[in-house]
Amino acid sequence: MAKKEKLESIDPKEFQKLVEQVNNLKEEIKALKASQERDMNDIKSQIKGIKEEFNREMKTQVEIISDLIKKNNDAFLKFKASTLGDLESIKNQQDVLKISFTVNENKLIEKIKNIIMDEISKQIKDHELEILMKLWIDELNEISKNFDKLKTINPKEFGLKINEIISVIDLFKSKLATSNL
Amino acid sequence: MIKLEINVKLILSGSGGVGKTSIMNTYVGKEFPEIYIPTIGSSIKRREYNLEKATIRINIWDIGGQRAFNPLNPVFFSNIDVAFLIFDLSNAKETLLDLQKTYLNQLMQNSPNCLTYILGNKSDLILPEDSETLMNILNQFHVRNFPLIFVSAKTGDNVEEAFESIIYNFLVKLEEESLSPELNGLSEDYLKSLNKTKSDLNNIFINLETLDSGSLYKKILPSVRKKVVKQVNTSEAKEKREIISTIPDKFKLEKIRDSIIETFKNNIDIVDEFIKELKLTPIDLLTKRIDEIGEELSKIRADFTMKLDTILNLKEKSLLVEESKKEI
Repeated sequence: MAKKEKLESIDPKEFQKLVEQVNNLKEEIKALKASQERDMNDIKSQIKGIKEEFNREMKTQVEIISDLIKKNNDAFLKFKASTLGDLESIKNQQDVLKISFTVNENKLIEKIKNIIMDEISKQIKDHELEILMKLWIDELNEISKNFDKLKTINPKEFGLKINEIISVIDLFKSKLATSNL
Repeated sequence: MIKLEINVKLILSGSGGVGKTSIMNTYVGKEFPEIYIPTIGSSIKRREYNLEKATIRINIWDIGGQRAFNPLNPVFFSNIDVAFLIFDLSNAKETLLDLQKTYLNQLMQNSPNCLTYILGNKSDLILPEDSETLMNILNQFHVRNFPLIFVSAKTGDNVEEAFESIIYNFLVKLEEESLSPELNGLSEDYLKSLNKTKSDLNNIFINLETLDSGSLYKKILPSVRKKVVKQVNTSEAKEKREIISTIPDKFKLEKIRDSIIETFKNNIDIVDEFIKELKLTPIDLLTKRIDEIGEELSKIRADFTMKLDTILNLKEKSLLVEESKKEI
């Protein structure tokens, strides 16, 4: 009952004015919508233009680089063809040099070896036994120095180490037995 | 049951020429040498007794007594289980004095707990008329604190027995000092293996408190008679020794050199045996044995060096002898 009273109390002029205002607002919204659509279409067409420009530019760059590669390749093949003969001849010369170097190197080493052996033989003549004794003392020194380590190794390594020491001793025993007294 | 392994370190010590090497050689079954060649450094030999529950390994260190060649090296006197201090009965005063002043002191300083016997060697050279003088000399020196035995390396008289006795007493000591029940009865097993009794072994001791000069000679006489040894009087023996110790000629130097080389090689065999022995050592004893052998190796190494140095010196001397002969 209270609502009906309220509606009846609105002035019809005022009401008419309100309707007009609503209609105006609707018009404005419609105009705004149309302007937005135009803007969107503008942006789309701009992007499309940029994309096309980019693709064109890329295509041009690829063509330029391919061209460069092709030119270089041609130049390289030309160069290769011209130097292949030279390379073959250098390789042959290198092989000859290598062989002669190896032969000479071996000859030289053999010569040096002989000189050293002769010199050693001269120096150790009549001293073989003393040298063997000295070597044995040095060896025993080594054995003795590392003897404590035997306590820390595992049984397999222990067995190997003991066998190694025994074979060293055997070697000295046989050398000393055959050396000139 | 794992067999026990007992390693006994025994040394023979005393002045040069008292017969240490000959005693050792007699014990290990080598021939008595024709001429005297001094030991340089030390010579090590081994002998084993295989008992039912233990292997007793005697490592015998014959330590050279010639002071000109062998400086008294304390390393030789450390960690010794048993020791024979040896003097020459035919030159008792001098060699006993040296024994008391030098070798006994060294031994007591470095191995105070070692079981020590005093051996008078060359009993085959004692004549009845020497007995009184000998008795007086023995009484002058403080040898009463140690078991005393007369031996002859030449005839073999009492040599084996002296070793047997000291090993037996070492085993008794080991049993008493050890807390391990495994060692119980070891000394008895050892006696059984020898087929001897305790009194057989004790019978060889010379008891100065109960003997006079007459009975002293009788104590030596029976076995010497049995072996029919050519008697040499003491002055002759002394003269022989002096001849040998005169300026060395080439022959003698060569003999000494050969002897050093022989003991050098022999000592390598000992090192070899020490290492091989480790392979058979039970795992629970391995650490201890590695320590012991490591110590022995460092001593033997010093000995090898001494031998090599002596050989090099002898070579120089030999060259000098050659040159001086040429000049003459």
